[in-house]
Amino acid sequence: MLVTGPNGVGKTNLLEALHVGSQGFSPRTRVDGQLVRFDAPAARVTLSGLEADAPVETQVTLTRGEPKRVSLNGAALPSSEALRSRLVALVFVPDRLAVVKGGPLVRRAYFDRMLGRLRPALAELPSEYGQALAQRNEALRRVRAGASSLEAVAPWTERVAALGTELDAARGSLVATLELRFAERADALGLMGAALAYTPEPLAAAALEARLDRDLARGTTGLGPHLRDVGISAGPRELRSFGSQGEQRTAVLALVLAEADLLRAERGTQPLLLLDDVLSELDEGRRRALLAALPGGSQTIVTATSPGALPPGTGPPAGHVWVSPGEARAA
Amino acid sequence: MFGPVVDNLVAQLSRLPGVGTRTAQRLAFHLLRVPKEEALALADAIREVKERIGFCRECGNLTEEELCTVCRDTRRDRAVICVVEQPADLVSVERTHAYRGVYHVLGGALSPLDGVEPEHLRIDELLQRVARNGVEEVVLATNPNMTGEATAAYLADRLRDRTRVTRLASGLPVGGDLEYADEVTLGRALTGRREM
Repeated sequence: MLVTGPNGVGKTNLLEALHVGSQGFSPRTRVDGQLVRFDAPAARVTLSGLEADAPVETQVTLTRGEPKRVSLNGAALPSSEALRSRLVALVFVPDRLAVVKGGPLVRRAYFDRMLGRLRPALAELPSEYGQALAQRNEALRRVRAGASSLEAVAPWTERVAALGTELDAARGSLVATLELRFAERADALGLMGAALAYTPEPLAAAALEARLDRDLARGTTGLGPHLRDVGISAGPRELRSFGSQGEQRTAVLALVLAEADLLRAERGTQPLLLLDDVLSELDEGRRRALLAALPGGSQTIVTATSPGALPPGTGPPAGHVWVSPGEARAA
Repeated sequence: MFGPVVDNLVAQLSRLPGVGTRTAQRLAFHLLRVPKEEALALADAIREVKERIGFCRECGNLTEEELCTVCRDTRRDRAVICVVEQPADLVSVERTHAYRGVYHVLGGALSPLDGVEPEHLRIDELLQRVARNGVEEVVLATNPNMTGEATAAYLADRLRDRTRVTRLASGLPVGGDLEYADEVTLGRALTGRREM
């Protein structure tokens, strides 16, 4: 499905609405209040479609000052997480380049969310680890401030070690499963020798104990999966520092497509793909390769400023929506 | 806003857990509306509970006397201690009628973020009980959440080599359907599966 229109008329807005309607949150901001029109008290997104040939309808209502309401096929869901565990949408927006060129924090968050999508039983693991870490750091600071004794740190060292080992192993296995498909996808888009790297390192309580003095001095835990990074490279080059903008873009797209492959292969779900302005910076060969690589079974929505973004000889899109300010209609 | 007397009542009520200012106002107006005897009965109940109820010298449960009803009961097995966070948890375990041992109420769970550390819980008392009474088993029944698990791990460490330590199993609710189980619970139940 192709969505076209001049700059600034709301194409990205339409994709954002699809993301809110299918995932319960915006890929752009976690502040739901920003999604409501300035002069309006509330916003609502209603989506209907097919999931594995069965009709599905979702509704997400954002009212200022109230918790958001999410429903699936008319039944209220307890949280937007519950919606995410049923429907998956993968998004590429220009901001997502940060996954390759941003700091390790962005990559960890990205792969940890992917972990939740691909292994729902582990969805809470990153946040559990985060809680244990926050408790340990607070215990360290209290000891440093003289408000507590070292004995109070020990139980949290153990929790951090156990959950950290589990999280690191989960990330390692996720990256290992994703690696090959990522390389294939990147290769098809013209990025040769692309690779992901993450070697799990068990986090031993003894290793944390050994650096207790340094941790106490800094008031924070200096070892564990919260400080590790996923390497994304092409050949010998780390793409974060030595990749061109185009290569970074291709790597993010390859990650999105590789995850879609895995979701299909491992969970049997067909994710909705939302690709914002992916064609503009690619040469004709890569545009052609990207369109050919889009998975057949799932719906993909691509925005562009004009239908001319499709390389000559590409078949017509399954649907074409023309966006003008405040309106979207079939072209 | 409504004069110092009403404002004070609202302020006192809003200190209760789960009660915000708006609920506190509603409760305050409700109390102003009901007959005097009814409102004072509540005040008396609060006064009486604070004057008469204390904590059991042995286990930390709520009691009107020095020892709670469980600790006074001579039929209970003193060789087994079930450790819980709060008196309410003790009540839950009692409702099963499946446990014949005694209890130890910690008064919370370890959580540095909330300022709760080992010395704020009744942990030394537990260690003393184990050392003194020939305890054969300690059942750790703290909540299966972050702070409860950390507390259990800490206690298990402190009690190691002194007595047998067990932890409540976590898994699927009885009478439930697998279909409706959340992934985390079901995942834990799979990890903790047993031979049949």
